[in-house]
Amino acid sequence: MTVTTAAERLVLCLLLCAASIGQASAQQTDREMIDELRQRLAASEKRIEALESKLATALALLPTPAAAPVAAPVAVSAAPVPANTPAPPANDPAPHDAMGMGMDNSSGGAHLKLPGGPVVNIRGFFDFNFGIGSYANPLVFPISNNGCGNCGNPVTPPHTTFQAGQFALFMNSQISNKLSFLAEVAYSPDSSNTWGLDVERYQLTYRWNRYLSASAGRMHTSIGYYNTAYHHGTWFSTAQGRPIMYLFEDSGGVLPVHIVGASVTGEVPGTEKLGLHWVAEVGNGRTSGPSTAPVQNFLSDRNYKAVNLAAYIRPDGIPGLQLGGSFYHDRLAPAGLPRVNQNIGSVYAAYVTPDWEFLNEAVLLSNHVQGVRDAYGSPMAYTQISRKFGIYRPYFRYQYVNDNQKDPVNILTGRYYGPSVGLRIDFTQFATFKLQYNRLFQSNQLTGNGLNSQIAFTF
Amino acid sequence: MLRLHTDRRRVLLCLIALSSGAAGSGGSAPQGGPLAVVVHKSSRQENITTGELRKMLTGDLRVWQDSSPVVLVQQPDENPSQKRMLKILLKTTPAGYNNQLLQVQFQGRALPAIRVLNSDANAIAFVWNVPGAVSVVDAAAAEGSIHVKILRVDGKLPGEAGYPLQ
Repeated sequence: MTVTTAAERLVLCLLLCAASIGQASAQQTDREMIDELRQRLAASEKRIEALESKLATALALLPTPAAAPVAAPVAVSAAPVPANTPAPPANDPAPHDAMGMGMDNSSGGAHLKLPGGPVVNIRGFFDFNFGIGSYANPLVFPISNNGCGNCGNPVTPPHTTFQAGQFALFMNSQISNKLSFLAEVAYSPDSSNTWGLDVERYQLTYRWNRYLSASAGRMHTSIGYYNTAYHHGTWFSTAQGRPIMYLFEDSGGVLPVHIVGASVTGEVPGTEKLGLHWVAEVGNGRTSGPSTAPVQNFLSDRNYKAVNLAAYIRPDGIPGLQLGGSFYHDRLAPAGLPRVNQNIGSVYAAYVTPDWEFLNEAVLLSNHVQGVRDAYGSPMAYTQISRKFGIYRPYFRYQYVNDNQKDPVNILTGRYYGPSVGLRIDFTQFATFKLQYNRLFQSNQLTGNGLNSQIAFTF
Repeated sequence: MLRLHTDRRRVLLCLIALSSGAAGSGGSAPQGGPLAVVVHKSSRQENITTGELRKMLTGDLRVWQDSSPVVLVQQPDENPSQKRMLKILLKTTPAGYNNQLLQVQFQGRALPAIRVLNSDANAIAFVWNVPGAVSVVDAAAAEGSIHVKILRVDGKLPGEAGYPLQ
């Protein structure tokens, strides 16, 4: 019995020893596994941190995604992630690109990027019109005197017509953080039913900062408000057609709405709340005579350069308000005439919010022939008001242009004034339908009436 | 073995907690509360005016006071915070804002630099990573994050009387 008990004890003892050895061994294995897992976890965390840091940098360098289709990746690349920037923790999802997540890409436009080259953004604009009236559409049809000199404008042949508008291609590219380029090419028909191609704008801009940027090329002259706010894409403009005073030169306009030269502009430091901006331009003014193309793209008919100075404020306290003015000076050299000093002064008040638009501008064009006592003054003005109600925007414009009939330089002479009333319907985000009635009183002519419709869109 | 099981359980619990935390932060924040303007922790900016915010949105203000570039972090058009921000600051809709940017581009003016991310949490994470980034997010989402700085707007913090981004 004793022997048995002793043997049992011995067996038990051995078993206990074996068990304790086994447990110790198992504990050691567990520790090793835990250590290994910890090491793996630490390695994974490091890897995640590195990846997240790389991702954030890459995101900052990527072009802007679709939901903000027009935003350029200008400054983002100048915002590198510093080495000591903490990476997000594991429970904070890393930022990721919104592309491919069903975000808005409906604003169209194309982005072309050659490997290693800058991105080119391309956007198209077009409008198609239908006009009915006793006169040709007085605001869309080019107004011209058809060679009758200062007799006032002859009756434009009556017509009811469909009318192709401007097919405008707008391109821009951010070449570097501070250097950008834009161009606008318009292909449009004229009264001879032939299509013509015009490079309406090309502009290379270098922006040092908000206080100074310089541009060179063919630009819209900073005369008044409308000429710098609206260009060749009619989809942007509320009404159909530009105010007569801002008609393009090849449509009979008397103002030098384009300038080929250089421009500097910026904000005045210390006036951030007032939003005081300045513009100074120098370039080829419009041609001195009517026989050549009005915009001097390549060769100027005189050495004298046109100068334009403008200033405007956009006070913080009244978002949407812009008040400004400009002064333009040039010296024309018309054939067979003494030199003509051309001065153009403008003042304007514009209030533009997403709902309201209230534009008021006045311009005085003065041509002073040297040796003649008085200058030939041509006052012109318009007012335009509109209010948006959902997709509908009714509008009203009244304009007055009185181009001195004795002026030896102006192509368009005579008095034009009258109201336009219309309705703009934005039936989709990027296409609009406009219906507009124009009544135009013209000196030496019958009063013109026109009912015009227009579909304008961007793509 | 018991210890290993416990560790595994902890890892599992952590993973569940992480995933639920991520899902929670990525989900839509409560609507109708104030919006907060968040910037990188290193920013020396303490206050921003509504006028400055408006200018940033339209590209008229593209650098901070220390000359570092502004990177706007926005959210998709259908996002309530984005809609409310545009309504309050620009009195417009996302579609109207996009049109406004198109016009800015067409006029040859400088555009704002914009990143679009799909939630407040992602916007905050981006702002945390990129100095110069700024985002307007739901204040509730921002207050929970210790990684970004909430700016005063016109001298006021979210929740204070007269805070403009209510």
